[in-house]
Amino acid sequence: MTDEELVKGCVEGKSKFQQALYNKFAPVMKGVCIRYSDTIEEAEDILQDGFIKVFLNLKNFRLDGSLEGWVRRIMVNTALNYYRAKQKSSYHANIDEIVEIVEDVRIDNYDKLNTKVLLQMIEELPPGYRMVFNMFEIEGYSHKEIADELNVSVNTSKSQLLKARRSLQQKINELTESENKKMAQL
Amino acid sequence: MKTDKNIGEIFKDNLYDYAENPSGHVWKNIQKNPDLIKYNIKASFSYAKLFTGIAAVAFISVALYFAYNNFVQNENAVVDNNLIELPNQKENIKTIVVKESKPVEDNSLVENKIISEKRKTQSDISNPEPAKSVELIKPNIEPQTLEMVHPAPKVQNLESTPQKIAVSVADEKPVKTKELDAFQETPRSTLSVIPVFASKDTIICRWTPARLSVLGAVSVAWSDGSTDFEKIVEPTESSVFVVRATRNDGTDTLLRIFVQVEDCYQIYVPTAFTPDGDGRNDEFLPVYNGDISDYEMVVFTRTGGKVFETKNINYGWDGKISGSQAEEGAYFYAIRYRDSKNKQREQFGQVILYRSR
Repeated sequence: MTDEELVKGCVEGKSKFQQALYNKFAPVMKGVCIRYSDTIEEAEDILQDGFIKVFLNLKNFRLDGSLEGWVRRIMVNTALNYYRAKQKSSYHANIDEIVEIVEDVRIDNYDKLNTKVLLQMIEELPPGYRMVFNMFEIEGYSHKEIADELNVSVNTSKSQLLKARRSLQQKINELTESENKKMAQL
Repeated sequence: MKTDKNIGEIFKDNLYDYAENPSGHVWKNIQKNPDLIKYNIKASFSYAKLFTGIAAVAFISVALYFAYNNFVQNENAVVDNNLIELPNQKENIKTIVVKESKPVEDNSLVENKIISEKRKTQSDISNPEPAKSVELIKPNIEPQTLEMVHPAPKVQNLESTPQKIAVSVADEKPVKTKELDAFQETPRSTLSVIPVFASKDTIICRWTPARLSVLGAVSVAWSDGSTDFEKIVEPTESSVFVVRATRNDGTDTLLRIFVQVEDCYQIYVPTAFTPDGDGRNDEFLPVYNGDISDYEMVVFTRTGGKVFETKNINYGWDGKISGSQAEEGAYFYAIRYRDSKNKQREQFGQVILYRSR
């Protein structure tokens, strides 16, 4: 089934097509949701809500765009809603808005890193860093968009990204170091 | 192999398309989502389908109508068939068939002919072709002459329906008569079914009970499990009470009694207060809900002296009379207000003033 057929069937409220669309995108979208959430359970909640939004709003989708991109955008927005709701319920210290010069962190031997490990690293980031890093680096949002979505300033977004990068960098370094040690022992 | 890549790129390359199979309940929950169910029903509804549905219903009802008509005709035919089974009466079959094709007005005439014909055939077997003879006789014989020829009272009685003709024919065949009697006098249930009634739907004031009852049933079962014929309920919200009543013939019926709960008084007045400054019940202050206007409260002593007066519903009596503490005991109040339906209401009562020692 092409995306076009899928969309048409879903808009007409046909369960078969909705399931087909779900089966097509759910795994990747779960991957997206995992990056934006603290737990797998939360990720699946986001996934569930996101897909309901997708089905209810699919009639507004224009077929000239990428369906996957559109679905992904809805997932990210749903995840951000969850994040914002969580922020309201728990106290968060103000984020310092020091702007630092974003240095380009470069990594050696990145091919040793496997996807699961990288995902784990993102999971371990503080939620604020994680949101900004995901949005900027992976989904390709601009700092302006991030600032609007997260209701922070552009500078906060930039500094959060920098800190996220540093934190990840450090983790990767630790990992490679331990790997190297292991190699040396052999 | 040495590579050099931006950290963001690394993560993007690895994670952009990262996929993991969601657990099965996610899709189940999506399907169960009421908004989505509503959407799907709306979306799949189309006028084309509606018209197809209407057309189908129309077709089926027309079909049923004809089927029913056929059934009624067949039922008539069945009676005739009982007779037809007998080989001796072949002639009679033919006569009856002829009769059935006649228009209604001719019935009495034709029947007379038939019966006279039958008598003829049975008395005089030598008659070669009875069916033909009917055809021949029919146009020639006038009704009057027929009556004169065969004025038997039985024939007069048996005019309207084919069944009756069958009986008249059967009269001459005693063996058959029994069967026909059995067929006609199908034993019907002689037990008369007592109808079941339940209390009417009713409106009650909140915090007041309602009496619900079921009449005429041999047993009842309420939705809460009780089996009383009469039941006193005190719902705090409007609710429907469902009761299954069993009639005396063993059949069940499900009855629903709707009890609507309304706020008859929007003001609740406490019966006592303690103006001792402990922060609890220090003021005599009615509690209200909903929209209240033109509120007015006056408090009197037992002797009728006015001790407090207000038009502010949020302002209560602090238990003081012109600055000094009022005595313990009973005081009377009068409250007047307009409720949410703009109806003027008045409430009177007494309140006890306590001071804890």
